[in-house]
Amino acid sequence: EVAQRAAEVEGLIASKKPMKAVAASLNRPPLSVPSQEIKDDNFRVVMRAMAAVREAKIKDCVEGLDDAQCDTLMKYVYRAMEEGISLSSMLKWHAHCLSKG
Amino acid sequence: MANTLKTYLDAVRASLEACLCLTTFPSQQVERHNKPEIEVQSSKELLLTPLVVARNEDEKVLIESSVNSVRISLKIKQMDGMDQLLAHWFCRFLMQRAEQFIVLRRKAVDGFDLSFLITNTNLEKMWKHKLIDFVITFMEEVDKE
Repeated sequence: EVAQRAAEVEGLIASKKPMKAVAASLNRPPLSVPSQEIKDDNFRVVMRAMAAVREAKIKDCVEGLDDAQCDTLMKYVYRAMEEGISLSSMLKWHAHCLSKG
Repeated sequence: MANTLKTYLDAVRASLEACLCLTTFPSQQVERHNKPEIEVQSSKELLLTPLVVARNEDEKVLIESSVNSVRISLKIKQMDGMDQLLAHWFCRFLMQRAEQFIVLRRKAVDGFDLSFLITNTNLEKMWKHKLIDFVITFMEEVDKE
């Protein structure tokens, strides 16, 4: 299922729709899956989608997400900060997500 | 530089406001004892997932919270040997006087320079927003030097 989502996200990024890609990657996250690998793969997919969004568009992207997706996004922002990935943009995502919710 | 500082501190402030919702919780192991669960770590259900808010590799804040206590650990930016020495002395100076600060922890968590421990009793005596202001101002001051 993660592989499907990865393919969908890649497709959307390639067709220059990064905002839809982020929304697609946040649907149905693997919450109670025991395998850490699946969670890591999903994390990579979400990161890829977020990296494709230009900084000026982050605000619009977050506006387009619903509450559940926003919550999931926050969880991934914190995970990214823990791993130390693209921190300055993570702080921006965090700020916009916060002002929304 | 100043720009990332503001977003970083805002993110820390928001995370602290969310985590500092503490209530008294008597120990489930020992009668009539009330211990900060984040230090004792007696049961998994009382602890929340630790959060990291990072500005870059060298500067981050680890926020570990539980039902009645929160531990906030700071890592201060240290660019060279001199900075490391100064930070070490400065933190040691503060930690030796931890009682005066009330919320400071005498020993920092591994991998970090300074740790605060805020319990529900602290929050009963002090205003939550003032406490958060204190931590943020502290981080700002350290960043300036």
